Amino acid sequence: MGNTGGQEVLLTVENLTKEFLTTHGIIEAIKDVNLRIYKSELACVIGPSGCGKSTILSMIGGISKPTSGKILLEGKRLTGPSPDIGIVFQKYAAFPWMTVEQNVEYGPRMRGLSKSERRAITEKYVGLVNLKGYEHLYPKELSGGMSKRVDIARAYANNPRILLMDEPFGALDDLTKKKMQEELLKIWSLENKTIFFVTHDLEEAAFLADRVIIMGRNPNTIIKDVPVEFGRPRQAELRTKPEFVAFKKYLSEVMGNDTGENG
Amino acid sequence: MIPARTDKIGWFHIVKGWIIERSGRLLNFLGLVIIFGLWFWLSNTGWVPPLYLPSPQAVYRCFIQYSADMPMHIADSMYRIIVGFAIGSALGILMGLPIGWSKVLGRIFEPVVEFIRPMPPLALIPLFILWFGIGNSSKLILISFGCWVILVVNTIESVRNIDPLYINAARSLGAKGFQIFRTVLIPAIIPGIMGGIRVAAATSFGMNVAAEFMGTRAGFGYLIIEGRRFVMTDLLLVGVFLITIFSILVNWLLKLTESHFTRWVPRKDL
Repeated sequence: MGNTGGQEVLLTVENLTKEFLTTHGIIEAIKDVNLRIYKSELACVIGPSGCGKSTILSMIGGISKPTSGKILLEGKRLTGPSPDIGIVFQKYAAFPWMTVEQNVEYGPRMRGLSKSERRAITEKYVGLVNLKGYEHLYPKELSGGMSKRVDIARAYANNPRILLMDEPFGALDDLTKKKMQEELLKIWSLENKTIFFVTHDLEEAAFLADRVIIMGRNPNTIIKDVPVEFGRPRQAELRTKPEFVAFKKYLSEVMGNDTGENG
Repeated sequence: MIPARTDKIGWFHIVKGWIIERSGRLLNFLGLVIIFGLWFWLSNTGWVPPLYLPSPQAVYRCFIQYSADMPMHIADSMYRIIVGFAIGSALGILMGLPIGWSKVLGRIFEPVVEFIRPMPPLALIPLFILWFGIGNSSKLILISFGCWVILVVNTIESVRNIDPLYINAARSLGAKGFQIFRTVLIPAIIPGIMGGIRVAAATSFGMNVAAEFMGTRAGFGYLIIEGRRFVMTDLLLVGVFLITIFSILVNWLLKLTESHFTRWVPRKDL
């Protein structure tokens, strides 16, 4: 079930604006974005490319700074990268010089946890993403899907308050992508962690989310916030059900209305 | 449907396979065999007088004749090369790291590095002798200087080439300052600086011999200078070959170290 209603707010984004100075003048990457993410929900942001959805994510993650506005995590203002905010990047981001195990235990190691505590955490999350037996391999020895699992396990192992995912499955082939979506839902249901998921893939958003936040262009801001009513746990069969197909069509219409003028 | 192969594998195929499999290795030796054969042939038939080209056997005999002194010559030169290389490379890496990392330090010191970089170290030998005397220290400083230039440039470049993705990932996982330095910066630049380290090591041999030409009592360069002074071309070649052999040896050791530290680097040919 969608678990948005009456829930505690975890993350608040207030009047967030990001401007870039270019030779053609000031470009507004995003304008006046207001957003609430509730505890334990899986919220997807979709929008056409260039609408600034990844910009919002990188500002929440503390990687880039907003021009104005603020971001609050449980009422506390965020000003930079923080272990409370985990990120799964679009690119493969596992440290290539570390094995799967060393990657997964990276966060706990930086926090100074003991070897035995780290081992317990690593074992749990390596198992959760189905990488048991691959602990001692380097990322170069892994497939794309497996590398992504390392990224997810590493982010989870650091026990952040919220996980940001920036089109994490964008580089994967369709089959692997769908499999990863299903596995992500499984992990999410087991771990009860808030996920803020950015994608341009409508089906991905419809399949994963409790709530789809739709962004438009000119101005680059949120145009609609749609709850997703499909029950959980969601299985692969959902993708072909008429109500799912209809919902995808609806999302595409909402996006299409806004982007019509831009093609 | 693809028809199954029915032709039998006979001895001919085995021999052919053996040759194809090893042809790369055989070809590797071919060039060397030709050069040594040519040397052997030219010097032993007397077409080229020993003054210009002593035979391989003569060079070997000369080495044996002076073998009692060889450990001293080798130790003298190798000490300068190894110490100079180690100090210069270490300083180059240590200084390249902050210059490559910090925008401000980069702005200040990069023009300095770019100014020093084109200076041929050998052109500075007289200056170093003037400043530090004719002894070991001016030679060590020359070698260090040459290695420093190579490594400082190489390290700056390597630090700048680090994908910011990894820094951001480390930060979002809670790593700070020195932790990022130790767990991201250092490992990320290793593949980049290993090449520089090997170039520096090879260059050290050349700088050492040039410095020795300016005056020394032992070393590879001493053998070469003495060979010239007493018109002993065989002794001169003993010096040359010692440099070659030790340079190959050092390069081989560094390659072994490199392959250990870069196990994780994705290779394009895989």
